[in-house]
Amino acid sequence: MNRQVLVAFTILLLALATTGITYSHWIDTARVQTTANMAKLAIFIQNHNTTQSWTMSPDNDTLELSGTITPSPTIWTGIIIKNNGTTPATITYTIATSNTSIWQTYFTHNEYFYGPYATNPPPNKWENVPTLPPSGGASSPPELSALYRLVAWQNITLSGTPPAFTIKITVTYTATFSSWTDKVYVIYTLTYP
Amino acid sequence: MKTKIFALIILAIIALTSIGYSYACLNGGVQINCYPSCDCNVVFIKVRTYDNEIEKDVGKVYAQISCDGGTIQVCIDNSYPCYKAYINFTIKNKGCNPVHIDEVTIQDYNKTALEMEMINVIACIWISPCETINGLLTVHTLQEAQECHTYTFKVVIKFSCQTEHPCTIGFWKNQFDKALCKNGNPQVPPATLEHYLDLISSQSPIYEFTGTRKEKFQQALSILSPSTNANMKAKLKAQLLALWLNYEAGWTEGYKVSGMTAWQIIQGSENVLQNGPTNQYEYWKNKCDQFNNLGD
Repeated sequence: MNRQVLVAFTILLLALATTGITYSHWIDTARVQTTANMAKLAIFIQNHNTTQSWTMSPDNDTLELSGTITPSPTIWTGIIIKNNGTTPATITYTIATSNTSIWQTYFTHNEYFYGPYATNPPPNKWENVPTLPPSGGASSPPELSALYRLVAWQNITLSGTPPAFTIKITVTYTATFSSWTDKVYVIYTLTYP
Repeated sequence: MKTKIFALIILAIIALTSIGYSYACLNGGVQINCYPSCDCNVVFIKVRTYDNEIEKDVGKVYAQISCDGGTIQVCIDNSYPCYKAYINFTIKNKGCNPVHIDEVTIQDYNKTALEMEMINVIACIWISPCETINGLLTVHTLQEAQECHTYTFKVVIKFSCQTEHPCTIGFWKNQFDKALCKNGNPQVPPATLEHYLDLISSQSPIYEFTGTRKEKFQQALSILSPSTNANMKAKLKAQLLALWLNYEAGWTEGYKVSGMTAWQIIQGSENVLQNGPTNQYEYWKNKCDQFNNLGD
């Protein structure tokens, strides 16, 4: 038993000596440790203002409006788009409809943009608008910095006496930064008469 | 009986080790050096960061050197596709032995999201004592990088220390002396010495060692031992041969004199020996001499 202990002890001593010799052959490392945190691109509809029946998606990305449309009055809808990401965003918009010929023949549509605003939009551009559209609007949206807000007022007007129809109009607002995109939608489902 | 002797030997080892350790502690602790009175110490001394943004300031890159100089912590914030962060750093060899970069690896990174490039700090280069080298690490965020994700990686630069050093002309004379059956055993075996001379004969236009091993050694010893009245050419040839021997032994790697490697000094010396001018003999003799004395 004693002999076994001695042998084990000797092996341990040799192992330690070998470790020391190995360590004394100097090897070292230098490190560059890097953490890269990615940015976020995100817009959402912070608020809306409409006379139509509406529903908002839980993620606040889609505002759905429905109702009947007559040649007058014009339907006005306002939304506040907030850049909730960490990068600036370039905003563009497109319109798609379910009935192109009706849309092109009988409808007119205009967009007016205000901002960007670091805080809530001024009342005369939003909740206390004296007349629509508010003054000073731009026809194309400005670049939206991170956490800034943009007011978009849009109108849809029906002219003439079209045949009966139901049309779905989708207005898509796209935020772009580098190769990333995020979108919000205003979708109308309108019936005539 | 055998067990008792064995136990006594073990006790003796422990006692001797303890005495050595105690003595070391009394004199400032145990230090592991690659060369007596000389340590190997490579550290980061400077880091600077910048990025490729010109108009918008969206992404940010920060870097900091750890207290021990062994690590740079880089943090890239708010990165996005096409963002490039540049980390410009300086490594210094603060020891007194040359250090060799064995390997540079970029570990644990997502190749679909990030692309890395390291400039200047590459494997197989030497850093002389007190020398600094600048490296540039570029981190390019690719199109596939995902929003809100965190990607990490590390660049590991492995170094090893040159544990050998050039030896003086006296050392080499001593080796040949001993190899020629004088007193003592040479530290470099005779077969190795002969191999070095054969290599020098084949690579150098100045030296040619021929005949038996003994004859080659006598020729080498004769060159290494110019008389005190010898001209500068003979003195240059003596120091140059010692430098050649150091070079063939692999003991010159990583060292420089006046910014020149051993090979550059050998080339310069042989050039003047072949083509002149003779007034440069002393200059090159001194360079060879300085190089051969780097280990002192």
